[in-house]
Amino acid sequence: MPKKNRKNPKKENALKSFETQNSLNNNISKFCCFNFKYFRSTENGQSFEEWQGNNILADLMNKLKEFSQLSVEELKQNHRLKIYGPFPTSKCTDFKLPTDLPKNGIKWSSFRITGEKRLIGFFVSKEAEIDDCKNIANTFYVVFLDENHKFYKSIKKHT
Amino acid sequence: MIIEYGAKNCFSFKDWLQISFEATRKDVPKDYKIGDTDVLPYLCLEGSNASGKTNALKVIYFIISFARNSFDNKPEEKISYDTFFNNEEKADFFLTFTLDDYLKTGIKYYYEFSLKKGKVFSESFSEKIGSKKAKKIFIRNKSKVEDKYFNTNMGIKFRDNVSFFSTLFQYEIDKSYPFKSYFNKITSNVNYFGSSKLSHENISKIYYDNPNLLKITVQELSRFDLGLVNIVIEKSEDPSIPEDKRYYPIFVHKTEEGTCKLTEYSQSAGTIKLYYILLYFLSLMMNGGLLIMDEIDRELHDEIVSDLLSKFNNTNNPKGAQLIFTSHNSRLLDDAKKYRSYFFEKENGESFCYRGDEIPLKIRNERSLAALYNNGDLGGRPNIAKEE
Repeated sequence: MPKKNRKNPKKENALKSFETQNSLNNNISKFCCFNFKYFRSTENGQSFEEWQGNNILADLMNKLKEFSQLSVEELKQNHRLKIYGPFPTSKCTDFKLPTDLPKNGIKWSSFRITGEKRLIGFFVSKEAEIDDCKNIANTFYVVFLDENHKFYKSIKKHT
Repeated sequence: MIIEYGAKNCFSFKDWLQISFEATRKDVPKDYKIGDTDVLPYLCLEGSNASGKTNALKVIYFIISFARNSFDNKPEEKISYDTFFNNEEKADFFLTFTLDDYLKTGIKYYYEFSLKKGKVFSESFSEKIGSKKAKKIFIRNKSKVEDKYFNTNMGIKFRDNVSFFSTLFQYEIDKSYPFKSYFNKITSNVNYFGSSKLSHENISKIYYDNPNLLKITVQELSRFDLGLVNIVIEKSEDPSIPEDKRYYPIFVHKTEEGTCKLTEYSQSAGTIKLYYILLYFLSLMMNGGLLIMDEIDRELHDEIVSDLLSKFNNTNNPKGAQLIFTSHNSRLLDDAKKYRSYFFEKENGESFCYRGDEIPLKIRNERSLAALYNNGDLGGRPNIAKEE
């Protein structure tokens, strides 16, 4: 008599693992990624050591873990990420554009860590012609640690 | 045709091994099946060493040998199979198959049996006609037998180390002949002890007696660019040599000076393997049946194996010939495609496997299955610890 209940739990687990693999393959490209290639602490902002001394490095790492689970769109919607566009004018910022980074083609952005603490960096514009780099629009290039919200200072409205 | 087979608590399979030639899903292209059936002509078993591929072949060979030949066992002899790490629990087996007239009758047969401590525990045999419900036509529980088909109710003794099929064959029960005829068309290079050579006995005599078969084999060998132009079977008159050894092949090669004759011992391993296995392939294509081959690619170039597999294409295989083989050459997966490939793994001593089309990944037929497999995306790859 034909039987459909000839089970093998190890086989079933292996096939389930492919479903996880499938889900990972389908979703992985949408998550926000962080890259530290352009990070510097000498010109503006603080170093990791300074944040560690102020006991806020762990906050940063926890936030990076949290941000990594969302897409850029979701981060924007949830007000964790603000995209400014061009490097802010000197009126708005205490920071200076690093000489090795271009004026155009990148979108300066800021992640809110806690209180006034921000993680500053940029996304490469989607329109940029970069070959063989599928995740380019989701990669946030970290440039500065901004403990006092000085990268993009709020401009007080006239009263 | 074999539709499906499997076993539990046998060799390295603690839980169910299920190997299926069935392809009823709509997405299986017709070209990959046998004629107008939903049955696959061949299956390629892939996996790392010791993952259980050969054991999966041993299981089908065991089921067939038990059904066909177990009457050859001496009455006190135990049935030769291994349970998982030699435990004393019951081992279960099943075989779903059809006879040659399947397209006319639409009948599928289901043979199931359980063995315990080297003896028959139970057997059952059912038939299913078309979409009707399957009907048990023979049941055996220890010494109790219920037969609704073979008319065996006349003093046939079913020994506890013999299958009911083999008993019926021994007693020459008329209705068992078609099953005997089918089981006799199953050939294997694997047995209880593992991989061996396909029997070379009588092959040269068969070629001697059937010049047409020899002609086709020579044509095939010529296609494979082995430098051969002819094979002549010669017969020794020395009566002290056993009958099947009296016939031996002489291989005629082409050289710049003309032709040169050489014996079997001067041929490459690949030429000799082809000389012998081509007869099995030709016989399989002419008569139908199943060929069980461990390490099909041993001694053969993958393009030659690929060419042999192409014989099983949809329109060339009117007798429903089938092949099941193991290989370490992932290139053959590109011929087999996901529907005809099984991937084997082993965890904690337990083997298990899955067919390529059971993997819940989108694998398009035009993609290279070998590339995905080699990349580790499909499992069944050796996980070799790297030296520090």
